[in-house]
Amino acid sequence: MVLKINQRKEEKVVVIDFVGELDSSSVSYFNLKFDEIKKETGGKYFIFNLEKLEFISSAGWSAIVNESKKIKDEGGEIFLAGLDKSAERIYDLIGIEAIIKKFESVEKAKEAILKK
Amino acid sequence: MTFIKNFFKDYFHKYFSAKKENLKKVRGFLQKILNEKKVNNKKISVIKMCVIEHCENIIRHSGADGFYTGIKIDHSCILVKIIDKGKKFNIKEYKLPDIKNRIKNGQGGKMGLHIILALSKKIVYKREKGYNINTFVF
Repeated sequence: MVLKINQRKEEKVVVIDFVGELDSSSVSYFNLKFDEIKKETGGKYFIFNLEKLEFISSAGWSAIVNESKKIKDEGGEIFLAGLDKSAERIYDLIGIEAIIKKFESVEKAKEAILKK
Repeated sequence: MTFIKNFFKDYFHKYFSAKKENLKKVRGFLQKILNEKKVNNKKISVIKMCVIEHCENIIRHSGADGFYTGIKIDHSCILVKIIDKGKKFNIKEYKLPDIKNRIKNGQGGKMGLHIILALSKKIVYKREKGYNINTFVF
């Protein structure tokens, strides 16, 4: 398995840990798994923890942007945490900040959400 | 195949069938050679990013059965050559969409070419005997 996704619900936040690689070979697994998590948790705010994500391609970023749009339309929000330098370079380059906020760590993202 | 071999003189090269599952193998191939040649991690990550974007495009859009990926480390630069027998596609002739505007509207897609053009120093494209021959300079 190229990608593993684990989830934990903490207060009003669902933290999703990504382990492995997110490219076009693992995007359908991500979509399926995230749909399951949304149904299971009924969550509104999600933190995608990318700390253990070793690689993400544009197919992966596209999937995250699409999900972010859907969640925003439902009144929620996705936040990113733990990006490495390589992921951060692409985040800045393609302008993901226009739709998804990033934080240094899950804790910092959680603090921002709990202030809402 | 002599035609292909001629293009890969002095290159480490390998053939991959056009399957999404092979993207991990492409990354592994690049990582192994670049590590052996002691290329720094930042450059390795840039090269892997560009090459994977290009290979994803071949797999998803070109109709090719597979592609050859070759890598050559020169004194001043690193060259990656990718050859496929898919539909003719010259990245430099493609009109890129306004990616930042798309993202603002929550639309994914169309990011790959933008990444390739931004991260590679130069791209040389040739079409010969029905093959797309792309050389990326890093």
